[in-house]
Amino acid sequence: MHSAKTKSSPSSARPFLQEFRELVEAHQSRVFSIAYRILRDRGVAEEVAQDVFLALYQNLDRLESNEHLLAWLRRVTVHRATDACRRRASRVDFAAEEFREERTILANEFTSSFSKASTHVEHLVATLPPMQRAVLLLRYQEDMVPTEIATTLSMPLGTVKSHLQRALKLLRTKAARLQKEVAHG
Amino acid sequence: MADFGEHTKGQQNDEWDGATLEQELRSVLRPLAVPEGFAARVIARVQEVEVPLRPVQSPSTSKPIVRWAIAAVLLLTISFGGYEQRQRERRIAGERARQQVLLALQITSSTLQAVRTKVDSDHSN
Repeated sequence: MHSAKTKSSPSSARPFLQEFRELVEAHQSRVFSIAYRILRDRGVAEEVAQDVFLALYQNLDRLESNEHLLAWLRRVTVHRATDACRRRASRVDFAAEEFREERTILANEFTSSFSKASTHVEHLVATLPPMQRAVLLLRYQEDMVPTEIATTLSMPLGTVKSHLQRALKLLRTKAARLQKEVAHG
Repeated sequence: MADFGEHTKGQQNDEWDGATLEQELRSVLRPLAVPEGFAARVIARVQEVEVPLRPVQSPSTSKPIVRWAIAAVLLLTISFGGYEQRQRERRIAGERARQQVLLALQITSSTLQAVRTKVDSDHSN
Protein backbone atom coordinates (compact mmCIF):
# COMPACT_ATOMS: atom_id res chain seq x y z
CA MET A 1 0.00 0.00 0.00
CA HIS A 2 1.06 3.59 0.38
CA SER A 3 4.05 4.26 2.58
CA ALA A 4 4.17 6.87 5.32
CA LYS A 5 7.13 8.45 3.56
CA THR A 6 4.97 9.63 0.67
CA LYS A 7 2.87 11.67 3.06
CA SER A 8 5.65 12.95 5.32
CA SER A 9 6.86 16.04 3.51
CA PRO A 10 4.73 18.80 2.04
CA SER A 11 6.56 18.58 -1.30
CA SER A 12 5.58 14.93 -1.74
CA ALA A 13 2.01 15.44 -0.48
CA ARG A 14 0.66 16.55 -3.86
CA PRO A 15 1.38 13.38 -5.84
CA PHE A 16 0.05 11.35 -2.91
CA LEU A 17 -3.19 13.35 -2.77
CA GLN A 18 -3.71 12.67 -6.47
CA GLU A 19 -3.27 8.95 -5.77
CA PHE A 20 -5.64 9.20 -2.82
CA ARG A 21 -8.21 11.03 -4.92
CA GLU A 22 -8.17 8.13 -7.39
CA LEU A 23 -8.78 5.78 -4.48
CA VAL A 24 -11.74 7.90 -3.33
CA GLU A 25 -13.17 7.93 -6.84
CA ALA A 26 -12.84 4.16 -7.10
CA HIS A 27 -14.79 3.48 -3.90
CA GLN A 28 -17.00 6.55 -3.36
CA SER A 29 -20.12 5.05 -4.92
CA ARG A 30 -19.91 1.89 -2.81
CA VAL A 31 -19.32 3.83 0.44
CA PHE A 32 -22.00 6.45 -0.27
CA SER A 33 -24.58 3.80 -1.27
CA ILE A 34 -24.10 1.81 1.96
CA ALA A 35 -24.31 4.99 4.06
CA TYR A 36 -27.35 6.32 2.19
CA ARG A 37 -29.27 3.06 2.29
CA ILE A 38 -28.74 2.79 6.04
CA LEU A 39 -29.47 6.47 6.77
CA ARG A 40 -31.97 7.40 4.03
CA ASP A 41 -30.68 10.99 4.06
CA ARG A 42 -28.32 12.18 1.34
CA GLY A 43 -26.80 14.97 3.43
CA VAL A 44 -26.01 12.81 6.44
CA ALA A 45 -24.89 9.96 4.16
CA GLU A 46 -22.40 12.27 2.43
CA GLU A 47 -21.10 13.46 5.79
CA VAL A 48 -20.61 9.86 6.95
CA ALA A 49 -18.98 8.89 3.64
CA GLN A 50 -16.55 11.85 3.91
CA ASP A 51 -15.69 10.84 7.49
CA VAL A 52 -15.00 7.29 6.30
CA PHE A 53 -12.55 8.51 3.64
CA LEU A 54 -10.87 10.85 6.11
CA ALA A 55 -10.41 7.90 8.49
CA LEU A 56 -9.12 5.87 5.53
CA TYR A 57 -6.49 8.54 4.88
CA GLN A 58 -5.39 8.39 8.52
CA ASN A 59 -5.21 4.56 8.53
CA LEU A 60 -3.83 3.97 5.04
CA ASP A 61 -0.43 2.85 6.31
CA ARG A 62 -2.02 -0.07 8.17
CA LEU A 63 -3.87 -1.50 5.18
CA GLU A 64 -1.83 -4.18 3.47
CA SER A 65 -3.79 -5.05 0.32
CA ASN A 66 -6.75 -4.01 -1.80
CA GLU A 67 -8.87 -6.76 -0.21
CA HIS A 68 -7.95 -5.45 3.23
CA LEU A 69 -8.84 -1.92 2.12
CA LEU A 70 -12.20 -3.01 0.74
CA ALA A 71 -13.11 -4.96 3.89
CA TRP A 72 -12.01 -1.98 6.02
CA LEU A 73 -14.16 0.45 3.99
CA ARG A 74 -17.24 -1.76 4.25
CA ARG A 75 -16.83 -2.35 7.98
CA VAL A 76 -16.18 1.29 8.89
CA THR A 77 -19.01 2.56 6.66
CA VAL A 78 -21.54 0.15 8.17
CA HIS A 79 -20.48 0.98 11.73
CA ARG A 80 -20.45 4.74 11.22
CA ALA A 81 -23.77 4.76 9.38
CA THR A 82 -25.52 2.57 11.97
CA ASP A 83 -24.07 4.75 14.75
CA ALA A 84 -25.38 7.89 13.00
CA CYS A 85 -28.73 6.16 12.59
CA ARG A 86 -28.89 5.39 16.33
CA ARG A 87 -27.92 8.96 17.22
CA ARG A 88 -30.74 10.30 15.04
CA ALA A 89 -33.19 7.81 16.51
CA SER A 90 -32.28 8.85 20.05
CA ARG A 91 -32.62 12.60 19.31
CA VAL A 92 -36.25 12.35 18.23
CA ASP A 93 -38.58 9.42 18.02
CA PHE A 94 -37.15 9.02 14.57
CA ALA A 95 -38.03 5.36 14.09
CA ALA A 96 -41.74 5.91 14.65
CA GLU A 97 -41.75 9.03 12.49
CA GLU A 98 -39.78 7.28 9.75
CA PHE A 99 -42.13 4.30 9.87
CA ARG A 100 -45.23 6.49 9.48
CA GLU A 101 -43.55 8.40 6.66
CA GLU A 102 -42.51 5.21 4.86
CA ARG A 103 -46.01 3.77 5.13
CA THR A 104 -47.49 6.90 3.58
CA ILE A 105 -44.95 6.89 0.75
CA LEU A 106 -45.46 3.20 0.12
CA ALA A 107 -49.23 3.42 0.18
CA ASN A 108 -49.10 6.27 -2.36
CA GLU A 109 -46.68 4.40 -4.58
CA PHE A 110 -48.71 1.22 -4.48
CA THR A 111 -51.68 3.01 -5.89
CA SER A 112 -49.69 4.68 -8.65
CA SER A 113 -50.00 2.88 -11.97
CA PHE A 114 -46.58 4.14 -13.08
CA SER A 115 -44.69 2.97 -9.98
CA LYS A 116 -41.82 0.56 -10.30
CA ALA A 117 -41.12 -2.46 -8.12
CA SER A 118 -37.54 -1.27 -7.57
CA THR A 119 -38.79 1.82 -5.70
CA HIS A 120 -40.99 -0.34 -3.50
CA VAL A 121 -38.13 -2.69 -2.65
CA GLU A 122 -35.84 0.24 -1.80
CA HIS A 123 -38.47 1.67 0.53
CA LEU A 124 -39.21 -1.67 2.13
CA VAL A 125 -35.48 -2.21 2.77
CA ALA A 126 -35.40 1.24 4.38
CA THR A 127 -37.95 0.19 6.98
CA LEU A 128 -35.79 -2.67 8.28
CA PRO A 129 -33.87 -2.27 11.57
CA PRO A 130 -30.38 -0.74 10.90
CA MET A 131 -28.29 -3.87 11.46
CA GLN A 132 -30.58 -6.08 9.35
CA ARG A 133 -30.44 -3.39 6.66
CA ALA A 134 -26.63 -3.35 6.84
CA VAL A 135 -26.30 -7.13 6.54
CA LEU A 136 -28.80 -7.16 3.67
CA LEU A 137 -26.81 -4.45 1.85
CA LEU A 138 -23.54 -6.32 2.21
CA ARG A 139 -25.24 -9.48 0.94
CA TYR A 140 -27.08 -8.04 -2.07
CA GLN A 141 -25.39 -4.72 -2.90
CA GLU A 142 -21.84 -5.87 -2.21
CA ASP A 143 -22.53 -9.49 -3.19
CA MET A 144 -20.74 -10.88 -0.13
CA VAL A 145 -21.36 -14.37 1.26
CA PRO A 146 -22.40 -14.71 4.95
CA THR A 147 -18.89 -15.80 6.05
CA GLU A 148 -17.39 -12.66 4.49
CA ILE A 149 -20.04 -10.49 6.16
CA ALA A 150 -19.30 -12.15 9.51
CA THR A 151 -15.57 -11.41 9.12
CA THR A 152 -16.16 -7.85 7.94
CA LEU A 153 -18.52 -6.97 10.79
CA SER A 154 -16.69 -9.10 13.42
CA MET A 155 -19.97 -10.89 14.04
CA PRO A 156 -20.70 -14.60 14.57
CA LEU A 157 -21.79 -16.38 11.37
CA GLY A 158 -25.01 -17.50 13.10
CA THR A 159 -25.92 -13.87 13.87
CA VAL A 160 -25.34 -12.85 10.25
CA LYS A 161 -27.54 -15.71 8.97
CA SER A 162 -30.20 -14.87 11.52
CA HIS A 163 -30.17 -11.17 10.50
CA LEU A 164 -30.49 -12.17 6.83
CA GLN A 165 -33.35 -14.61 7.43
CA ARG A 166 -35.23 -12.14 9.63
CA ALA A 167 -34.70 -9.31 7.12
CA LEU A 168 -36.04 -11.39 4.21
CA LYS A 169 -38.99 -12.62 6.29
CA LEU A 170 -39.76 -9.09 7.42
CA LEU A 171 -39.60 -7.81 3.82
CA ARG A 172 -42.10 -10.44 2.68
CA THR A 173 -44.42 -9.73 5.63
CA LYS A 174 -44.29 -5.95 5.11
CA ALA A 175 -44.94 -6.32 1.38
CA ALA A 176 -47.93 -8.57 1.98
CA ARG A 177 -49.36 -6.28 4.69
CA LEU A 178 -49.01 -3.17 2.53
CA GLN A 179 -50.67 -4.91 -0.39
CA LYS A 180 -53.63 -5.81 1.82
CA GLU A 181 -53.89 -2.26 3.18
CA VAL A 182 -53.80 -0.77 -0.30
CA ALA A 183 -56.27 -3.33 -1.64
CA HIS A 184 -58.73 -2.44 1.15
CA GLY A 185 -58.26 1.27 0.52
CA MET B 1 -39.34 -7.52 -12.36
CA ALA B 2 -42.17 -7.97 -9.85
CA ASP B 3 -44.61 -5.07 -9.75
CA PHE B 4 -46.54 -4.42 -6.58
CA GLY B 5 -49.06 -2.47 -8.55
CA GLU B 6 -50.09 -5.68 -10.28
CA HIS B 7 -50.27 -7.54 -6.95
CA THR B 8 -52.71 -5.02 -5.59
CA LYS B 9 -55.08 -5.97 -8.36
CA GLY B 10 -55.53 -9.37 -6.78
CA GLN B 11 -52.54 -11.53 -7.78
CA GLN B 12 -50.98 -13.90 -5.27
CA ASN B 13 -47.75 -12.85 -3.54
CA ASP B 14 -45.90 -16.10 -4.25
CA GLU B 15 -43.55 -14.29 -6.68
CA TRP B 16 -41.95 -12.75 -3.59
CA ASP B 17 -40.80 -16.04 -2.14
CA GLY B 18 -37.20 -17.28 -2.00
CA ALA B 19 -35.04 -16.74 -5.04
CA THR B 20 -37.26 -14.10 -6.67
CA LEU B 21 -36.94 -11.75 -3.72
CA GLU B 22 -33.18 -12.27 -3.66
CA GLN B 23 -32.96 -11.57 -7.40
CA GLU B 24 -35.05 -8.47 -6.95
CA LEU B 25 -32.82 -7.24 -4.14
CA ARG B 26 -29.68 -7.78 -6.23
CA SER B 27 -31.08 -5.81 -9.13
CA VAL B 28 -32.43 -2.98 -6.96
CA LEU B 29 -29.53 -2.52 -4.56
CA ARG B 30 -26.99 -1.32 -7.08
CA PRO B 31 -24.38 1.31 -6.12
CA LEU B 32 -25.79 4.84 -6.35
CA ALA B 33 -24.27 7.92 -7.97
CA VAL B 34 -22.46 10.13 -5.45
CA PRO B 35 -23.29 13.85 -5.09
CA GLU B 36 -21.32 15.98 -7.56
CA GLY B 37 -17.91 17.14 -6.31
CA PHE B 38 -17.78 14.53 -3.55
CA ALA B 39 -14.14 13.51 -4.14
CA ALA B 40 -13.05 17.17 -4.24
CA ARG B 41 -14.72 17.82 -0.89
CA VAL B 42 -13.00 14.78 0.62
CA ILE B 43 -9.61 15.97 -0.64
CA ALA B 44 -10.27 19.45 0.76
CA ARG B 45 -10.97 17.95 4.19
CA VAL B 46 -7.82 15.81 3.94
CA GLN B 47 -5.75 18.92 3.13
CA GLU B 48 -7.23 20.70 6.18
CA VAL B 49 -6.04 17.98 8.54
CA GLU B 50 -2.84 17.06 6.65
CA VAL B 51 -0.41 19.28 8.64
CA PRO B 52 -1.44 18.46 12.24
CA LEU B 53 -1.90 14.79 11.44
CA ARG B 54 1.34 14.21 9.59
CA PRO B 55 4.20 16.02 11.33
CA VAL B 56 7.47 15.88 9.41
CA GLN B 57 9.52 12.99 10.74
CA SER B 58 13.03 11.85 10.09
CA PRO B 59 12.45 8.77 7.93
CA SER B 60 15.37 6.84 9.50
CA THR B 61 14.17 7.24 13.10
CA SER B 62 10.56 6.50 12.23
CA LYS B 63 11.35 2.82 11.58
CA PRO B 64 10.81 0.61 14.65
CA ILE B 65 14.01 -1.39 14.09
CA VAL B 66 16.11 1.81 14.13
CA ARG B 67 14.40 2.96 17.32
CA TRP B 68 15.13 -0.40 18.97
CA ALA B 69 18.77 -0.28 17.87
CA ILE B 70 19.16 3.24 19.29
CA ALA B 71 17.61 2.14 22.59
CA ALA B 72 19.90 -0.92 22.77
CA VAL B 73 23.05 1.18 22.10
CA LEU B 74 22.02 3.72 24.76
CA LEU B 75 21.38 0.94 27.28
CA LEU B 76 24.77 -0.67 26.55
CA THR B 77 26.56 2.70 26.83
CA ILE B 78 24.93 3.46 30.17
CA SER B 79 25.70 -0.04 31.53
CA PHE B 80 29.33 0.05 30.35
CA GLY B 81 29.80 3.60 31.70
CA GLY B 82 28.55 2.50 35.12
CA TYR B 83 30.88 -0.48 35.18
CA GLU B 84 33.88 1.71 34.23
CA GLN B 85 33.00 4.23 36.97
CA ARG B 86 32.84 1.48 39.62
CA GLN B 87 36.23 0.07 38.50
CA ARG B 88 37.80 3.54 38.68
CA GLU B 89 36.47 4.17 42.19
CA ARG B 90 37.77 0.77 43.30
CA ARG B 91 41.26 1.57 41.89
CA ILE B 92 41.37 4.95 43.72
CA ALA B 93 40.28 3.34 47.03
CA GLY B 94 42.98 0.64 46.64
CA GLU B 95 45.67 3.23 45.94
CA ARG B 96 44.59 5.27 48.98
CA ALA B 97 44.76 2.17 51.24
CA ARG B 98 48.23 1.33 49.90
CA GLN B 99 49.43 4.88 50.64
CA GLN B 100 48.06 4.63 54.21
CA VAL B 101 49.82 1.27 54.82
CA LEU B 102 53.13 2.72 53.51
CA LEU B 103 52.77 5.76 55.76
CA ALA B 104 52.04 3.52 58.79
CA LEU B 105 55.11 1.41 58.00
CA GLN B 106 57.27 4.54 57.69
CA ILE B 107 56.02 5.81 61.08
CA THR B 108 56.63 2.41 62.70
CA SER B 109 60.10 2.22 61.18
CA SER B 110 61.10 5.71 62.35
CA THR B 111 59.69 5.03 65.83
CA LEU B 112 61.67 1.78 66.06
CA GLN B 113 64.80 3.59 64.86
CA ALA B 114 64.38 6.23 67.60
CA VAL B 115 63.89 3.57 70.27
CA ARG B 116 66.94 1.67 69.05
CA THR B 117 69.08 4.82 69.10
CA LYS B 118 67.98 5.55 72.69
CA VAL B 119 68.67 1.96 73.84
CA ASP B 120 72.14 2.05 72.21
CA SER B 121 73.00 5.37 73.95
CA ASP B 122 71.83 3.97 77.35
CA HIS B 123 74.12 0.94 76.93
CA SER B 124 77.12 3.05 76.03
CA ASN B 125 76.64 5.18 79.17
